[in-house]
Amino acid sequence: MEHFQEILMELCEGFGNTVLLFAVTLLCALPLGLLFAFGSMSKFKPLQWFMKVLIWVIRGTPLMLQILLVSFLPQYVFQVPTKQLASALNLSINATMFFFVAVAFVINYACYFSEIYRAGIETIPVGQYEAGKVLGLTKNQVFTKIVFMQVVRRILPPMSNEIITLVKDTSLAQILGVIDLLNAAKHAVNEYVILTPFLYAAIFYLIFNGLLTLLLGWVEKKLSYYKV
Amino acid sequence: MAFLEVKNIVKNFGETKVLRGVSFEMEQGEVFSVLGSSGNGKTTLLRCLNFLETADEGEITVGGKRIFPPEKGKAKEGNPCTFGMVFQNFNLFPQYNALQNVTLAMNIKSQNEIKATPCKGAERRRRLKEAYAQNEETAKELLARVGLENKMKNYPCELSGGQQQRVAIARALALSPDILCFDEPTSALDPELTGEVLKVIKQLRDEGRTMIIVTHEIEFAKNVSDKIIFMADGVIEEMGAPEDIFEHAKSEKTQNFFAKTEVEQ
Ligand SMILES: Nc1ncnc2c1ncn2[C@@H]1O[C@H](COP(=O)(O)OP(=O)(O)OP(=O)(O)O)[C@@H](O)[C@H]1O
Ligand SMILES: [Mg+2]
Repeated sequence: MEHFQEILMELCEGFGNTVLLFAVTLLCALPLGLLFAFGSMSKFKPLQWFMKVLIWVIRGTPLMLQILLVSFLPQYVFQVPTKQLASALNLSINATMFFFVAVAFVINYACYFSEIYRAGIETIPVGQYEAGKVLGLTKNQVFTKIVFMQVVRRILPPMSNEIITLVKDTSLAQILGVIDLLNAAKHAVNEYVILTPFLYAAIFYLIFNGLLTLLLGWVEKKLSYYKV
Repeated sequence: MAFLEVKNIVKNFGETKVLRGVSFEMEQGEVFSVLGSSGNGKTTLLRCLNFLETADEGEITVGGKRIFPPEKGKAKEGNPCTFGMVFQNFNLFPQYNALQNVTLAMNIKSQNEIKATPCKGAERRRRLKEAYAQNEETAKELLARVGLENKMKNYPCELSGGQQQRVAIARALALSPDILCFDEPTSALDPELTGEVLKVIKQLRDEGRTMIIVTHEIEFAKNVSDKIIFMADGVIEEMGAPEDIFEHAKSEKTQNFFAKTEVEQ
């Protein structure tokens, strides 16, 4: 148990970034995904096609490629060096890298979520909309008061899968040098020339995912008071 | 002028001409049953009345007020709720219990009304709360009237088909529509459950509700209706008092239809 304390400290710091990236992605991609879903079901064809192509491209290419693209875009396309962008955003270089990663994650996960939302929305029987309409509800009210909760209920299992995957995907952040949990473990392995940091990192991931699974399972159970 | 006037409703789905000019008149408190073989546009007619479909031509007037075609400028969003609708497969909202299914539309209506007034903040919240309590009372009365006082807190998945349909009837009554439409309210039910739903409809007739009922229950239609509308090929083939239609139908199509259903029954 040599250097246990130091290693743990470093891993905790990395874990902080992992959790931050996870939370930011989830908080932004869940609503954005719903907007994307509306876009891909829009009656306005150009928007619908744009969303479909975007979703196809994002789901069809590696997330790592998207992260790299986002990080190079300002410099290569808009001729704004990353340093200059960082000072304009009032962020450190590290924070800017985190920002790039987060942007790529949010867009990527919004696309995955949007497909889940769309599938969920499309399974709601048309009778639900009609029953709402004859009761005088507007389209928005039908969606928010009647359809949405049923969609949530239906998509929770596939959403849970995606959320668990997100936890593991956060390790891709290290491509831009972000010190996430796995990157911190890698540094520790190199620094102390022992393999145990990987084991600790694995335990961190397992505990995090274990808690998430419990939480999502609990929500699912809470919602299973009715059948859809 | 009659209470409800339906004039020359035409509805096509692409090439399919479903309604080819349906006209009838109805007084307040009357009950009409719509009969006819499958695919003759009975459901489509009810859907046009409830604005679930937009008729291609025609005019609908209720109480002297034209509700279709809508006046220019204001249209579309929100249904005026002159009509209520009870669907063949209930379409209850599964995430709400019986009581909530009935109060939902009333509460939204109260919200809209209170939002339209200038009151704000605590006063608004107080009035909303008051309205919700009032709505809940109304809903409880309605559910009691359809015989479900013991099932108010049950979710649709915990109710039998007949009970679900009775909740649906209470829900349709919640906004006190002028005219209540039923689209084959018992077709999705096991035979032993149709009775309880038909009983409720009969009871509504005795209370003087204006109702249009699409049904295949000939006996029931005979007992409950003031007039029978027999539809064939997208028009009203024959219309009249039950005894006239059932015993002395003039049109051949009508006679054939009843001859056939008699054999079946
Ligand atoms: N949305 C639609 N698009 C295209 N055709 C439709 C649509 N709705 C109904 N139709 C057609 O309109 C015709 C009449 O349908 P409708 O449901 O009104 O008949 P119905 O008299 O209610 O029959 P049933 O007794 O079987 O319920 C049918 O031929 C049907 O295929
Ligand atoms: Mg029908």
